[in-house]
Amino acid sequence: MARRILIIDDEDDIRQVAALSLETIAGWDVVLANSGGLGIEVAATEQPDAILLDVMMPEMDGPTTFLKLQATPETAKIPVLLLTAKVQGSDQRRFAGLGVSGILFKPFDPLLLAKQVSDVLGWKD
Amino acid sequence: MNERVDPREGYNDASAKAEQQAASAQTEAQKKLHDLLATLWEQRKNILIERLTTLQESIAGLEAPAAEASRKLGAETAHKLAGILGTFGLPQGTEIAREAEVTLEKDGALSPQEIARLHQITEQLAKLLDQRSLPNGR
Repeated sequence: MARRILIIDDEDDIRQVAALSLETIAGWDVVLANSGGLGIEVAATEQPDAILLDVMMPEMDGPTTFLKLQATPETAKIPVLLLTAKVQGSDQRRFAGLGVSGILFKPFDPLLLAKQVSDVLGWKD
Repeated sequence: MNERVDPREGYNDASAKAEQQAASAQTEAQKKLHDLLATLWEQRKNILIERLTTLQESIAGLEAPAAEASRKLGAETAHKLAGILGTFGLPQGTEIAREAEVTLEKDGALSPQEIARLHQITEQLAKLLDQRSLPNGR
């Protein structure tokens, strides 16, 4: 059965490129949300195998969204990978300290995104 | 003639064929993704050009009384450009947009040299977007 990935990002471009990439290269099902609040709702109903979560979003940012996902029993066990354009070491340490499953960096290579997700999560298929 | 055949030979043939098929499917998927991204670029390039205009206006506003708001908007816009340009095949665009973001996020007033460099970055970004928009641009 195909993996299902939820992408939470306020940027249309990023959501669309990431979705095309994961669907075309890996054959995964992709669901999208354009805000942290909507992403939490979608995660609870869709039960994705993993979540790609943008860091900088208006209203509810990625770290806050992650903490809420963790605090919600229906979504607490879903692995979350942060997707960020922040490359400074201090930002990376802060994000890693949250307890996310991994951090992926923007800009990503659309040809390699699925492999990066699989590698971080230890998916063999 | 009593020919002896390695029993693994058939397996190796089948395995090589499967690998070839997988590689061919992967190449097809890559080509399809390339085409889809080219279409998406056509749909989205005007939005990226609008963002560049926002960045240019923010930098032009750095010497105005409401410079702080301009600077914040400029940093956010540069951040967004840095996050997407490389994905659309413009890694240099990501690099210089990131440079603009870091400069705009610095504490304290910016020097005339830093502001001049920011203007230069927006000119370079405009050129890169222009080139990418040409029919043979990647």
